[in-house]
Amino acid sequence: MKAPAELSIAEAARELRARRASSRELVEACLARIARWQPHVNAFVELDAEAALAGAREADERLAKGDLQPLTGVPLAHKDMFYRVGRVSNCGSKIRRGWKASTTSAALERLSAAGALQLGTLNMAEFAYGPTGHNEHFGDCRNPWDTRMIPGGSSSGSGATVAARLAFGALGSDTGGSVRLPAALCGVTGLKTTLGRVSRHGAMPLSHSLDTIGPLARSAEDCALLLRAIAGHDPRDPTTSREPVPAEADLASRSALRVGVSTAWLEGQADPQVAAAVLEAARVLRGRGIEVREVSAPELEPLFVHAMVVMQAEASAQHARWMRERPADYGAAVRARLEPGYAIPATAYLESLRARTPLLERFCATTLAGVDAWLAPVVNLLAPTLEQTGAKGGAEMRRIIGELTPLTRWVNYLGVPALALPGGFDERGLPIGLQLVGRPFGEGTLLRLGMAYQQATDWHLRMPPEPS
Amino acid sequence: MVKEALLLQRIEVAPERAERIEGALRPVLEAAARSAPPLEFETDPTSHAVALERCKA
Repeated sequence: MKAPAELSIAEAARELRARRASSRELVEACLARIARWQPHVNAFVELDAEAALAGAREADERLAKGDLQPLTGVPLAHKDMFYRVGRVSNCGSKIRRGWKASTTSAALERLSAAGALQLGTLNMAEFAYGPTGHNEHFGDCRNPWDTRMIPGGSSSGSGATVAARLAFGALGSDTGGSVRLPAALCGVTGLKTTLGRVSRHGAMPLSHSLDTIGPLARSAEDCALLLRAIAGHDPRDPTTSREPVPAEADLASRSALRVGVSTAWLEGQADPQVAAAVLEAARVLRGRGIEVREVSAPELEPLFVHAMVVMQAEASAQHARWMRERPADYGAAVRARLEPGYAIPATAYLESLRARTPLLERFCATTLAGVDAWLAPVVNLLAPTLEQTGAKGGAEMRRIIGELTPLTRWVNYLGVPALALPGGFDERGLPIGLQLVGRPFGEGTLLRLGMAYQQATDWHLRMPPEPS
Repeated sequence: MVKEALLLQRIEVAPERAERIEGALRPVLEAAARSAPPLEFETDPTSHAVALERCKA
């Protein structure tokens, strides 16, 4: 058997069911790695080793009796914004530090029902409102590939944890790129789900028209396993869809797949190393028998500005009470992001919301006409440092942060799914991320494409060097 | 405009911050207005949930 840390969720679950490994071994392997890595990456906010070991003992007993739940005994860890009754969810903030939830999030409930264990809660941007991984209340999260670099946010701890193999998978949330950015910058696989695919009951809200929940894991196959556990209609979140969740058989389908790529657009705007990685991915997909066509890129700027208007108005409304009563308890960066939202006219906000139906239809009828997914980078630029993007980053800070989300926010505005995949490394040895953007509820197709890509590449198997 | 909006909503900001917000927000709002597609009179924001079903894979 491989070392526990090298197993995917799918492999670990198979080993557990075959009784070749125990849940206790998996948990202990994760705890040992957390002890080595945590001082370097600050990915965990709270570690509950005792509860995880107790859960592992129970899981091993169930497995011995023939339990066949898909995730029984698999240790996961989640962004510190998924509530569990009686447990603390700090939401990366001073305001909610020590706050205990009175309900359990639907996503955590469903993972528990599938047998998964939780090792602890993970660092995140304050109130999930930041793309870098900085956090002045709980300390910055760092990129396991180079701790000077940002891990990406807002699900920073989720990206760092999965990359460093501190847990087998993690939940994140994505309102403007918060699953895909850490997935891309940390070199793991992350799924931004269709709006309404996963219940948001018991998850901290940021912008209700854009918020989605999705998994970060080592592979597309693992994301599929986690998606199957968490997706589906939930009466406690009336925005959830009754659309069938992709089954294992759907992912094994051999029907033809087609991918669109926009070479001239890509070469005109992305860093050459990023553009080369995307074009190489298109070549790999072609080699797997997938038809790759040139398509027109969506007009991203209008989508980006409408996404900004919606997100700023909704996030600021969500935070209005605390912004009035205790503004000094916000970090400076988050407060600065919230303040402009109060000056967005209601008519501008509603017009941006009204515009998204025709803009979604236009995207599906143009870029996606004749293809199943559009292949693009997650970020156009190479990973910046924490210093460049932090409070002391100077004049360049604003520009660099502004360049992190133009390729991610528009996806949330349209409400469509996107799968972020590791697509190589830059000259400094840092991961480069790709994304496949699909039609609404097209997660199954994206995951099939991701699995085909990962059968031909090994980027997702690479692990950051052990900390010294 | 921004200063009034913040005051009305009881959001306190640092001196001169309202002016900086206005400078940053103006191009975003102008771009949003400029790029809004011509909308049918009946278009309402809740139509997006239906559009997701209509455009699904």
